[in-house]
Amino acid sequence: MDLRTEHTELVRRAINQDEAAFEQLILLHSEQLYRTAYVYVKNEQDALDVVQETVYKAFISIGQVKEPKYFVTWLTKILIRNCYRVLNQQTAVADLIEIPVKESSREEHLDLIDALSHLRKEYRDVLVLFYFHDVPMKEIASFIGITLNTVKTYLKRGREELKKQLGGLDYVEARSSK
Amino acid sequence: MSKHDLQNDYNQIPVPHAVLQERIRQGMEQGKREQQIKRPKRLRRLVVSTGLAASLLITSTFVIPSFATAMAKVPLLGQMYRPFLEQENTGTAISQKQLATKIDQIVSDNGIDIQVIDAYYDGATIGLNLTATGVPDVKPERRSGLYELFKGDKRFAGTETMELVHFKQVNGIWQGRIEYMLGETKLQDAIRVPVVLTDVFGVNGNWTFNVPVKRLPAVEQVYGTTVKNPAYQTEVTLDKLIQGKGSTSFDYTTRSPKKERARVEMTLLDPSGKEIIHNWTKSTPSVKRTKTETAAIEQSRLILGNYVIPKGSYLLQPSLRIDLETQPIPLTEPLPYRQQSETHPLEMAITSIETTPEQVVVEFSTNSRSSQFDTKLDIRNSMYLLKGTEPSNGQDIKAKVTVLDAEKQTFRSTFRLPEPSEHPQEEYYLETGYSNTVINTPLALQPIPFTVK
Repeated sequence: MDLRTEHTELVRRAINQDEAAFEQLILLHSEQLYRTAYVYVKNEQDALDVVQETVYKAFISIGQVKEPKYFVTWLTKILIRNCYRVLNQQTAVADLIEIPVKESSREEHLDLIDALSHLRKEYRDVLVLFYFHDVPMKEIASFIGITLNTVKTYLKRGREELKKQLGGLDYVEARSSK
Repeated sequence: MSKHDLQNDYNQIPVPHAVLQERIRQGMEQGKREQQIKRPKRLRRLVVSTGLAASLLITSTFVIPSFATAMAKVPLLGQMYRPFLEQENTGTAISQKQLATKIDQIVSDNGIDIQVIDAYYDGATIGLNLTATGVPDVKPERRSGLYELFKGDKRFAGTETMELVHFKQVNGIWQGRIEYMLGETKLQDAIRVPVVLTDVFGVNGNWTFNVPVKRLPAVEQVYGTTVKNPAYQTEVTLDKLIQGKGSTSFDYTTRSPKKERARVEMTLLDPSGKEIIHNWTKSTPSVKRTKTETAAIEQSRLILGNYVIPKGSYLLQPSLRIDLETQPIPLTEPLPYRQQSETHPLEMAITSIETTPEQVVVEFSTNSRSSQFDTKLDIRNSMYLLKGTEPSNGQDIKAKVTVLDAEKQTFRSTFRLPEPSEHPQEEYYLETGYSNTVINTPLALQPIPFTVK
């Protein structure tokens, strides 16, 4: 059984309330979930909170996944929504307290994270789904509820914005031309 | 930075693996707890019908004592729970009959003494009576202890092993009772019950016991009587009755179509058809669940605490609540889109979906006025438009419903979108009232006659 078939089989079992399969799936995507959460919320504790909340929501609603191939997109969408919930809470308390940030873990990735956090929400979501979770453009369009052309526009503009901030993204263009 | 590898940079974000795995475990545990005690999503739609809502809760949550206790405090709903709570407590009858075995195990930690006074094993129920001394003065909701039975050992297949025991002050002594219903098919004559309390009156500690219990004399009567309804493709067999000293248990088997889960409710009748106990749903999780190519076979046990069935003839009337899986329906589904059950005669068909940037118009028909059965819910008013397929946030869009043809039961639901959408068919999904109506329209089977000798 190849990896893709194995993944599809795991999703199918998870949809049928197989807890072990669900856990296996989540562990398989756990690093990705954590890293994406971190990109949005920018600190370890909040990222962990987001992952926990995402696992909880996914667990109780896995039965809603109609096609196994949409599992990753579905899961990422829940994750991103949770990230925005935490970001809203962060904004609410930002005036009152300074949120401590673990500098040691942030330093090396400050560029990427900061650059992404300065993007418009729409661009950031599309870039995260496309580059970090390998979701095809058509699927992004369907799940975010925008047209394929809008996805392409957001990707293009998001890349341009990132370019400005990071100083060149040759690889990004290489992938998008595939 | 001249060349920046976005994915590479992303992959460099350090992952705290151990704590991440722990958080994933916690997320799953949270989900499991939610699934055990949650009201089905459909219940949100049924608040207008307290009786129905309560009966739904009973079917889905009765294995959780603390939830049932909490519900007993809720007006209206509580009225339906109270009799069950009184019935469920086998320990009440055992204490009155002084049949519990003295244990006298005492454990102290952090200034709190917990004592297991006595224990019992009646029919398929085991129980422990506890006292607590040295407890702090805390709010009523914290006057409880978190316990785990059997150290997570799943062999007993019964009710929840991790629960709260609530303490009440009687004559100046804090008393609590742990009761557990065994799900094993073949019950043992004696069991050792490991119990660990870890949080008592808000104080963390460890109070560990190992309590031996010996089964009180019980009478088991085997029946094997089956009632079938070919139209519903479901049959229920009364396998066995266990008559204890303070409880009565019924073992039964349900065979239903593989894809559809039937929850069984029982009503106990005398031979003339007069109800003795209505919609008696207290049950352990299924003792054993198996699937063949076409059918799901579920062995279950219903336990009636504080009730010893007298000798005589009876009827046991099963009724089935069919719990269908629901999926949000994409607006792009090929039409007509039919919703039907292998078991339940209710049918529904979406015949047309039209979208504009401002609204979604859905036409559908049902056979809910069919004389074969009586639906208790108005299926036509139970259609919602959801944004996306994620769990609902309770802000789903309600429709304005027009009756197109009352005789043919055809309707039109018009949903006004909260804001114009260029592609509503990609953004929105439909949820119909079909599965809600099905689960709330139980199907009665023929009563099963049996005699208690």
